[in-house]
Amino acid sequence: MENKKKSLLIHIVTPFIVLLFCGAIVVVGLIKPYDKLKMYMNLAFMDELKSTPESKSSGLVIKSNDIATDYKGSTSDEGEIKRPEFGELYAVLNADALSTAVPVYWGSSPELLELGGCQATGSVVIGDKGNTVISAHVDTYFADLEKLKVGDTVTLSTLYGEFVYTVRENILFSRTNGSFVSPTEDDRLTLYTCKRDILGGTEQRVGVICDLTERKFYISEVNGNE
Amino acid sequence: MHKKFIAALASAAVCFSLSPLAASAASVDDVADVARSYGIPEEDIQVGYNEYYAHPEKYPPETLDAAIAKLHETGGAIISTVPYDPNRAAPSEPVTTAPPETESGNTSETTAAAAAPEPVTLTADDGSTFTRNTPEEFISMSYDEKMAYLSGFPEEQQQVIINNLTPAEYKSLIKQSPAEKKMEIVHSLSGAADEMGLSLTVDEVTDDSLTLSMRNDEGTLVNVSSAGASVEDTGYDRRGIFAAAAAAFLTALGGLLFLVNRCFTDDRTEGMNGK
Repeated sequence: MENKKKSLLIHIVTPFIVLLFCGAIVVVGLIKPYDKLKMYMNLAFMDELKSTPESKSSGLVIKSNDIATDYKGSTSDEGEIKRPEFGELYAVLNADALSTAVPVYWGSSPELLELGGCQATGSVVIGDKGNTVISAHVDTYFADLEKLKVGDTVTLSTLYGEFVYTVRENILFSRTNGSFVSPTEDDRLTLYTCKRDILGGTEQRVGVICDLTERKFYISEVNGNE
Repeated sequence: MHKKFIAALASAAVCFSLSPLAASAASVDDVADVARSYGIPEEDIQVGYNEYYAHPEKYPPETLDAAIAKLHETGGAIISTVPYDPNRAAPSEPVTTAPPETESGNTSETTAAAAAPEPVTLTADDGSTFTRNTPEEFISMSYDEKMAYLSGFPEEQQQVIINNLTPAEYKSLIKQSPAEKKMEIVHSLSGAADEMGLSLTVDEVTDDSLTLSMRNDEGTLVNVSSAGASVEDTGYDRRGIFAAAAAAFLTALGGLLFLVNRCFTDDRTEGMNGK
């Protein structure tokens, strides 16, 4: 009788124990793949997201543009900058070290950080004089940011031109240190994200500072569709 | 919290404190200079520049004049004269420490000069001069100490001091202002925004952050001021997930130990009884 009770206990409890063990391992193991999947889904269904412009109750209007990254027409060192609106997709960032092209939005908010890189409105528009500052989530769009090394090339394609930067310096700074995201006299691009930590967000930020090496303003009009 | 407050109200002031009021011939650089004089961070001034260059037709010179007027009003809200308290100690003379002697017994003049801070001499409207402490000393005071220090001067002299505060001193004042004062400043900016058909809302207030959002009359978000030198939160917080997974793992481990203990104890008991 005792053996029967024992056997019953083992048969009932053991599956739950196995379920809890496996569940814990699976949940932890799926965090990174989930982030990647979400990122690729956002990129794949970007147009559908833009078709519902109102972002819940925040009033954020997300505006899409078709930005060419393979422009072959005439370019010039000088041209007119088309200044974006808050929430507008106005650039695409490419670098060999990054696994995917990163859409860049003007302005920063939790909603926009889910969709791509966000440029601080307190930094200069791409192509203008000064510091252009772009951030993105470490688990998605800037997951490979730390792979950028000195000498690597970063290209920002916009509706009005293409701008090429060369990585000058890798940086690590505290969240409370605003010196790297402040305006500068020289023309640079600052990219940053959270320092990778298994538990998620940290107080440290990693990134790169890049020097502007080439300005190519489009001479012919590039279509930008909403 | 304090830096973010400075940044938030700064970009709000520069961006939207532009209402169609009266006129002169100010330029956007003039607005930026006034903003700088009140300690507004460069990144917030950049927000203003971006907004101006995105929609220059919205900001003719008379509007920029109004922006300057609003910035002066905001500056007035940051600090104003306090009641004169003649019982307060007079502003102290600079303390001169005894210069250290070198091995030869001669005093070090360089060290003496470095030890004694130079007071700042100001001229009142009536032509009389008076001295106040250095900006560095003023900045190092707490907010209450600053107000107490000011109260030791007649109000006319207080106004002269206020008119000659450095941007760094303004920054320290904003940083140290009590919550009611901060909200007073935000309220002042809200009133200016309303005149322009913009609404200013405080979206988030915590000890470490302050976010102000500006929306037009259609409710469309036109700017977010969450801090001048704003370093974004670009990571996901996984602590909850890991805590849940750890709890599940420990529960499973506990169950396993319970099972093993139960089975082993039962087997041992049966073995002993069998003897």
